[in-house]
Amino acid sequence: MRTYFIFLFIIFAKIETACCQQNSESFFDPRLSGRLFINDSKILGNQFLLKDWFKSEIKFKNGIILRDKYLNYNGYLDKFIWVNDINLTVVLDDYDISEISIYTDSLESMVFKKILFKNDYQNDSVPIFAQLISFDRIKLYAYHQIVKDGSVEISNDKGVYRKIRVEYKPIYFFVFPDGTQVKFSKLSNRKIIDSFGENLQEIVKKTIKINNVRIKSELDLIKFNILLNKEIF
Amino acid sequence: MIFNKMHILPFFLSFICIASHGMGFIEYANKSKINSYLHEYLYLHTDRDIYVAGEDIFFKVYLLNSNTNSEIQNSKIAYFVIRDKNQKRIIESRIWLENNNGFGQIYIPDTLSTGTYQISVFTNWMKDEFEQFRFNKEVFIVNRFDTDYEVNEVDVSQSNLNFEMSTGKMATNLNRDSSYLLKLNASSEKYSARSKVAINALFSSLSIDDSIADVSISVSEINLLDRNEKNSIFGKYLFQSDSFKNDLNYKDIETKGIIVSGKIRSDDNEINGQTIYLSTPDTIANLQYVITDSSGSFHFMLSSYYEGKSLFIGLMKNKKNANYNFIIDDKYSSFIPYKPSNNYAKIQSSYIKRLQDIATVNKSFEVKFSKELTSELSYFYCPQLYSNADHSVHTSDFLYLNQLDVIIQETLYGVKINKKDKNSVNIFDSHRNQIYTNSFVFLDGVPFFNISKVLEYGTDKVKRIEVINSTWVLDTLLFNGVLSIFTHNYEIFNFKNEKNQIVIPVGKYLPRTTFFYPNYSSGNIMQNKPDFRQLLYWNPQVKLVKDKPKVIEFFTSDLCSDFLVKVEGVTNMGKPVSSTIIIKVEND
Repeated sequence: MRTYFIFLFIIFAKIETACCQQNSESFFDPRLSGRLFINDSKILGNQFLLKDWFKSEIKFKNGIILRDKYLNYNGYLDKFIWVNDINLTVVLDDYDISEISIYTDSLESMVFKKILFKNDYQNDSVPIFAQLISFDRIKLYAYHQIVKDGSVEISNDKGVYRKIRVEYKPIYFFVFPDGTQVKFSKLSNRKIIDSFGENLQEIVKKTIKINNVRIKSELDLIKFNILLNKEIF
Repeated sequence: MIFNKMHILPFFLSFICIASHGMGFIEYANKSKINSYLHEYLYLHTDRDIYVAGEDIFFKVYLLNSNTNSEIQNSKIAYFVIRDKNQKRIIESRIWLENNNGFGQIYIPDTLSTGTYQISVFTNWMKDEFEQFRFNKEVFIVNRFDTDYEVNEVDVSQSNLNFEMSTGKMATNLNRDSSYLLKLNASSEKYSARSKVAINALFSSLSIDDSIADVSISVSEINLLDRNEKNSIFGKYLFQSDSFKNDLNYKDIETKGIIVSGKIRSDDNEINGQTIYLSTPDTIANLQYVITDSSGSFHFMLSSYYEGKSLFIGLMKNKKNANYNFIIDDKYSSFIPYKPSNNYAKIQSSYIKRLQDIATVNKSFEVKFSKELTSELSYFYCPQLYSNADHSVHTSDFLYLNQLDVIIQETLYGVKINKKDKNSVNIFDSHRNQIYTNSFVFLDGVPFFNISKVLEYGTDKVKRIEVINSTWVLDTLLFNGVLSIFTHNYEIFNFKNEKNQIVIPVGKYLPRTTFFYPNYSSGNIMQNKPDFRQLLYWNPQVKLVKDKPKVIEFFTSDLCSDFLVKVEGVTNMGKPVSSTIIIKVEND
């Protein structure tokens, strides 16, 4: 009987200790807000960049950092979707947020920074969240956009429906120290050379040629950015 | 055998339980240890100890601590209270601490009667059982028009001054730690009126880590109490380090802004688990919320966004039959009474008369010696509910409409005030094809629960209306549609006395000011004005680099007397330093 009392005592002590461990800093942290996310049944295809929600760190414009929030990036909305403590999915209101780091595993993180970006079909630059994939004097970003790619008719017992098909079409862009952006979407040597202005094309060509670069993946692009930084600066 | 297994099982489970929580326990144990050793000490350096009502107190507050753990943040706010012998609080103010110090000036109301007063500086956790850690200093304030004050006739020259009345030498060095030294040397033994004084300050330390001392310097006419060691920075520091150590409540340490705390009380309703909101009238809907604990207590930490604003604190679920009282904690309250000492009983009546005359001259000639510095408060966060509304309407874009429900009906789609259902706000969510029947209303950025009272508002009062026509989430709080009404003249202030709500002012941080002193070498500044400054120099922002002498220059006034040069401060490693010398100003 005494053994059971000891056991109960230990359990009680553990609960008490856990209660005391409440992080006092989080007590006064700002609260996240946003619109309730409702999955649009008219969309066919994956809107999300990642397969799951991961622990993330949210940095506000004033420097405050919120930790351990579960997020995923929705490329179709260009918004982060947050799972709150009562398991509601929320389109994060990111107005005051400057940076988000998603920890896809205990050591690796994807860092998204809010930057102004001008798309071909827009007149003005707009703030977007782009992943910083290579950091040097020239920064390399990936804008993981998921775009409409036509529509498809789906028929079932109840009738025929038209759904929007979405597709992952990332845009990569270099940002030079003076703020100049060079963007491209296809990963090939030719497309990358063409995306640079005339003043830099020769340097880019030279870098590619000397180092025997073949850009086919994001990793190749990161290596190329390192070489380009060495060549220019 | 089965019996034995049953005995083993609890031990096995206990073992798993401890092992799984092992790291947490260590973390908690460490945290408790940290709590035990977290101690902040404040020290106040004032320009003088004796003032005339109507003058300013120039001061600098230093925050020192014995905590070396970088994870624990210090308080960012110090409170400043002056109270009289009847425990009446004369002045209440707060100072933002940057790099563990804050400075400024406080005007002493000219209606104060002659007597001793207590200045108390403290941080938010120095309350209840920790009130003893507040730094208290006694000052003597003279009213310009008082004649019947109680003083003993003691000659100042006969007083028990511990200071050598020498000039050009370091008269005292309060620094008891031989590894830190602050040496002061004056350029001359005697000075004439309106002449330049140069003081050479040299900070030295045996510690390799110490490289800079952040000090404040005052040069004021000498009085009896300048050498009271109780008020010295070291006296306080040594006292504190020997004191007992208790656990602190983290919630009380103001690391980012002011903490507004309080309790709700109700005879008939539950006080535990109630959602309390905090909001302020603004052009954006803003909201913070907390849940009350079992005692009905709540805490909010405010960023500098709330500076000078009014706080509306109330119940989120404002039921009509519920009746709650809000009790907000008084941040300036004190349980330890102020008992005046008899230190100032030795002041001569002739000395007081002289102070009164000088103050009268300064008042007559409007002699002022300070200017305000810009200070940026580092923590700014606006807790806006949403950044972009789904619909926004400016009433100036429309013809005059005399009713709020008409304005909404004519200018917004999918929003209706349902008069048949107690004037509830209905909002249509087109995404979910659903009507929310009791949507949340904000008036001038503040939660508002009685829209019936503003139905008479026309476009002459209503400036803008915003709508969120979906379910909005704030942490775990859900809003099924939001209607925000903004008025031209912040009409929300007409609803200060609503049920289950309290409105309190936040106040402002004391601005950082610096002392301005006349430069008689560069022309005829104040040449035609009398200059009977008792405070020749005040600089709260002096950096002394180790082993590099620094020259501090200022000008004497027309007042011929002995002046005390007092330098106090802390090193970059948090060690206090202090030193004084006396200079003489005589007629040519």
